[in-house]
Amino acid sequence: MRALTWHGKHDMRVDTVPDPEIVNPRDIVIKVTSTAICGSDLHAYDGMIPTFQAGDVLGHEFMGIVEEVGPGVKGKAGAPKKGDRVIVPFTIACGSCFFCEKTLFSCCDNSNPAPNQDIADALLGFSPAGLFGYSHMLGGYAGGQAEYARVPFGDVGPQIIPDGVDDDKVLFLTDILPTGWMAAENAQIEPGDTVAVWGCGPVGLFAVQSAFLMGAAEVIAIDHYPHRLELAARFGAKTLNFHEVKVREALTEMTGGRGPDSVIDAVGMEAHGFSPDNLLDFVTQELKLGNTERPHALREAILAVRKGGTVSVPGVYGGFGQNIPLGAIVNKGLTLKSGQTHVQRYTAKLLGMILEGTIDTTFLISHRMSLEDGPKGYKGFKSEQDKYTKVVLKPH
Amino acid sequence: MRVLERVAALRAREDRVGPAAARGLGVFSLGLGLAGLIAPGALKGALGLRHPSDEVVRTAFGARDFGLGAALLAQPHRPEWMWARVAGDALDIATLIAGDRSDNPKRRALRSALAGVLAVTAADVALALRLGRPAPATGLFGRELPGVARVRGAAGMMGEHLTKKLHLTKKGRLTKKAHLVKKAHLTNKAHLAKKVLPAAVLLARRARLDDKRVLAGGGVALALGAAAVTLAVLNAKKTKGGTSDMPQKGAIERAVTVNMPREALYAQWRDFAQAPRWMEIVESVSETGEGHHWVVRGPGDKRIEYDTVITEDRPGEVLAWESVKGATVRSTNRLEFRDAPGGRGTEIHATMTYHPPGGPLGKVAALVTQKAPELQVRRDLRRFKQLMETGEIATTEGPGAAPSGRDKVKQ
Ligand SMILES: NC(=O)c1ccc[n+]([C@@H]2O[C@H](COP(=O)([O-])OP(=O)(O)OC[C@H]3O[C@@H](n4cnc5c(N)ncnc54)[C@H](O)[C@@H]3O)[C@@H](O)[C@H]2O)c1
Ligand SMILES: [Zn+2]
Ligand SMILES: [Zn+2]
Repeated sequence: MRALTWHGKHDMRVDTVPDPEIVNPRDIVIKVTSTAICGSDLHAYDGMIPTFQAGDVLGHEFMGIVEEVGPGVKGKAGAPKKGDRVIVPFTIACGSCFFCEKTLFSCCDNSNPAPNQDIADALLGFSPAGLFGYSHMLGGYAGGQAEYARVPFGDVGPQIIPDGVDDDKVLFLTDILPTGWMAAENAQIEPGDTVAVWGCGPVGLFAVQSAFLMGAAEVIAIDHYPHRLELAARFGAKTLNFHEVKVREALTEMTGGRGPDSVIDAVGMEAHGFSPDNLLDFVTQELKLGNTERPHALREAILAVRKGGTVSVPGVYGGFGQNIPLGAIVNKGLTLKSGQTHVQRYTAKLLGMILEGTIDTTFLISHRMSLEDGPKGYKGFKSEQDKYTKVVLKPH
Repeated sequence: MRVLERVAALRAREDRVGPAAARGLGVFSLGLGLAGLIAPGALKGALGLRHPSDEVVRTAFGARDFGLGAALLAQPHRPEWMWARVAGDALDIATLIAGDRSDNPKRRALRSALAGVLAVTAADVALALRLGRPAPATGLFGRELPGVARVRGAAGMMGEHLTKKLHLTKKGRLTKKAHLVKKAHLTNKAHLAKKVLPAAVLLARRARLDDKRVLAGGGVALALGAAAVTLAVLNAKKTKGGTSDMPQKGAIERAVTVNMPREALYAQWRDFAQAPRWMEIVESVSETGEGHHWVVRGPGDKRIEYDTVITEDRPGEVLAWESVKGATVRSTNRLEFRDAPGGRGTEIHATMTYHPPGGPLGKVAALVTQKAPELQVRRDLRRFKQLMETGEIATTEGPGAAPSGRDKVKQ
């Protein structure tokens, strides 16, 4: 089959690779009809995520038609059958360990293969779940930016999509929609709250929508791309362009001197901007001087949030950052919540909301391409972010 | 800054330049190391350094250079070796600065050596930085563990090993073998520390008082050295802790919690013939009447066979077995099944001792080929948990499980 593969920093290629097979009883294989490029893929594209290997198939936002079903899935009540159309959560979860039972699916004990867990143990303390196409530390699973994909625990993750609903409408159930939703949930929004969101990429934009749905009175969205800010404004957010205003001063001013009740960092480890802290991060991150992150947005969010407020971090960080304002966390009495999204927890509920028309998903998509054009998609999504808000690839 | 320019210049070149330069430095290291090992006095004498009696230090320097040279030649892609070189360079610089005295007749030679070492250090730093960049990785040891994690893992294991030996020594229960190991591991470190510290003090004392640079350099080196030794000793004194009832000498201990009742887990494990499903290096287990016959794959996929007998068998609670007298592999194994607090399944506490054939060399081979007992116990317990909780064992081995551009199909 054809697949989009990682070959190093800014080097994506389309290779012909072996077809995936049913390996474990609970595997299914799907024929991928739509797959998207995620902001997380950009961290990999930039060579920021450790333990990728040349040739790895990327992609963790994908859906398609069930092509083959393992013996452990066949005939199971509610499990997908051959020919069903499914969306696939990017977090691989067994459904029966302690963590899955607590619906902490991205912390599943059993989906990361035993040897790969060693790497995660060393870097993180304990190994989280395996993820599709997202490094060997997180399983070494082939991703879904390909014609076919093997999906372990096919009876737990995939959500069957009713006929007559466009791929475009439901594709983002695989990751960014639940991620924006969980980001807002983690922000512990109470009716009347003001929520500030750093980053108006797909995750940030879904966080804006979700925050309003959870009762926020006001949402302030921060970015530097006019078009992305405009999309946020479309959902009713006030916007701040950090190239034009001093973000913290503006936020304090806009909240009558209190600060936002909750803040969401939907930027992650590669913040843009020319603030001194970000420049220092840039140098130390590039030279690998004990720093793997550029957490400028997180720093700013921690300082901007009101006393006793909540900091929600959907933005991805990979290793060890420096100069995090720990004093502010303690002395302002903050709550910090984060995580790779527990996608399986939200898919059914959010699918319902999409079908009802409560949540708009298609507004994001700026580009639709063939799989063969995948490398172009990465390049555009990375370097022309104002034009490229979301790239969807069609492998067939 | 020089270093930064160098980095930039190096980065502009082909990917192959880094490893090639590393190889070059490897040869250089090998040469220096050989000289240090064969004629340590001559090298030091040529630079007018005055501690020819300090054999440990001289040999250590030689061995360090030789070892790093070999490592770099074997694995020119690995930044760790380069960083190790940088650390070595720092030591060299400190030594040379300390010898930079007006009463040193070879002062000029020493200063040019110092200049040389500084240049090499700059090159080492630049190369280490360059090699540290994410490049298409094709691991020397296959694809499961990249360099950093492997080195960390290996260091961890060595540390654990050392810890246990120290613990033993403290209790004063020294078997002959433990004594030998103690000699090999501990005294080496202690000796080194014992010799390095006085040497540093001596050097510092010989420095002229108005030579602030020497004092500062020596002081920093001394402080760092002392801190490192103190930390190492403190760390080595720590025991693993934990809740095991029956700590054993030199035993590997590892626990895992499985979301299932004790009886089911015990029953699965008691069915020894099934072990190959979750024990990676085990090929087969068969009943012998008195116990079991094991066939395992050792380093280099060499087949090793041995017999075991069950020594304790309390259904749902304890299962223990050990190798029979005279077996090629000496091992004892004990599994304890305990209810996890709050009804959260079962804790399996595994205590194992395992002596593969081949003595210390066998151990090194096992470590390098990922067949070290510590590592196997850890992974086998995870696989057992996966099998019990999910009915299968997670894997991304093989192109069918995880297709990759490494297994490209020809068109
Ligand atoms: N937790 C999860 O499970 C999960 C899932 C998906 C994505 N993510 C992460 O969420 C983050 C965003 O993903 P995305 O797909 O929206 O990516 P994206 O790259 O499209 O969007 C990031 C946005 O942040 C903006 N930004 C950069 N620096 C900023 C700053 N200093 N202040 C304000 N805005 C700034 C950029 O201009 C960009 O619009 C990434 O880190 C991604 O890895 C996490
Ligand atoms: Zn994603
Ligand atoms: Zn699980």
